[in-house]
Amino acid sequence: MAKKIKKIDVPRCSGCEAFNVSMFCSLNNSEEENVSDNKTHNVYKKGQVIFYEGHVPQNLFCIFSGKVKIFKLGDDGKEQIVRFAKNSDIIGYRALLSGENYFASATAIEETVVCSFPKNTIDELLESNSKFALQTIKLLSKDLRKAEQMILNMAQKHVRERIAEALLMLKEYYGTDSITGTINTTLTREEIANIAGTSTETCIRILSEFNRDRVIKLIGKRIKVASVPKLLQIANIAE
Amino acid sequence: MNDSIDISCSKCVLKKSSIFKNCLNTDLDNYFSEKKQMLFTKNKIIIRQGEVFDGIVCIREGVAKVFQTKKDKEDFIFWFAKPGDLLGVDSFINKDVYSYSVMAVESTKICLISKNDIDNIVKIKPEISIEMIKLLCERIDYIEKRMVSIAQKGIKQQLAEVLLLLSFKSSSHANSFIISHSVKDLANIIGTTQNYIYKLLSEFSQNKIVTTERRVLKIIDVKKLSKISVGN
Repeated sequence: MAKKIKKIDVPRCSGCEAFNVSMFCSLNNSEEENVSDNKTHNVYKKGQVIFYEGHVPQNLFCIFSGKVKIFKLGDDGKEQIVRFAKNSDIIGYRALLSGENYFASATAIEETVVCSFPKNTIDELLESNSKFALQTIKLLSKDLRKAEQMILNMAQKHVRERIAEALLMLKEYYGTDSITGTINTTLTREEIANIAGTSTETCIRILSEFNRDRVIKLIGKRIKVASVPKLLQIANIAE
Repeated sequence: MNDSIDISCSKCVLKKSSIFKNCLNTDLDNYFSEKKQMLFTKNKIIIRQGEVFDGIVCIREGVAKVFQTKKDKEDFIFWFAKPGDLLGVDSFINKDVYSYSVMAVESTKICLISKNDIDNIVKIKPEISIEMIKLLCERIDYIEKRMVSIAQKGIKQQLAEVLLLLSFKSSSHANSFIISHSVKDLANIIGTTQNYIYKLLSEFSQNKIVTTERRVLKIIDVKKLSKISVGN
């Protein structure tokens, strides 16, 4: 009994929202044609892995819709989330470009449609289109700064501050639901703990403290930020 | 003037391991017309966080620490730059401000490649941008690895890890490296207090893993130290 697989169509790159905000914006018409012809797309269910840390990269991934977490595993196998990605973001490009194995793993945290571009197409672009390379450097510079900021917070802030900041980051990145006002993503308590670099138990305790103090409102798995100023104050963000 | 010969990239032993390795010697010497060489004594600031991008710094000799400062907080050290390392590459595209400070840990000689020079050569030699991409990838990889350690490892494991990292970086002696004004730096790389580092270092030396003589820290038992670093 074959289960029916949901079919989702994606537009060509030129008609995609991601085209103008990603490094693909530097492509001319014929290059865009070539990239569009060579791309394939897949649907990933919640929890399905897009790529594994340590594997050899074959493709560059661009997220058409959905949400993805990027994480590394510690020595004892505990997850540390290093980044999130959503529609129009490009993932798995660092390993591909530097010729290394994947530095981290990527898993869909809700149903996600991902376009993939074969390695040789990207390599050709890098060699022939210098603007493409410069756009890539831009993206990397941004990622480096984000990573620097995250490690700094991890080293110098307390758990309470880090969880408050994680919530603010999630709110800003994913936006809020127009009806309920909750953050537009469902993460487990463990996943929030893995962003802030703490244990699940501590994360649960602090979230219920925030809930009690009316800083946030817990609605089942979803979280609503009740008071942004209070949360900013806890996160100790001066700016 | 002998100075101009001394600073030319074609004479530099570091060229073959840098992002300019695929460029012809004559190209580099021609394009880097505004290149300057500067000497910074110990504890002098080479790059100041928040200043507008002025060019890419290449460490020629010495060691410098790369760190960020936040109001009311101790500095946080990302890594130590050694000869051949380039700084400011992440500010080059956007021409924005430097996101970190760089301070000479010992007397450090640097070359400053001006932004005009670097712009010109990247336009003409696109292979440099590919090397820059690789360099940035390595940097992010390193930071993310440290992020996992900081989030998940105890201070003792982290200190062992940091000592191993630093010892592989030093080229002068096989298993030793010099830590000048170090205990504070070690504390700031992990994000802990100096007292705790003192305590752990004396524990390590009691267990004959390291010796500390004056300001030289020597690793005797690499095996034990790497065991500690993974939590055994």
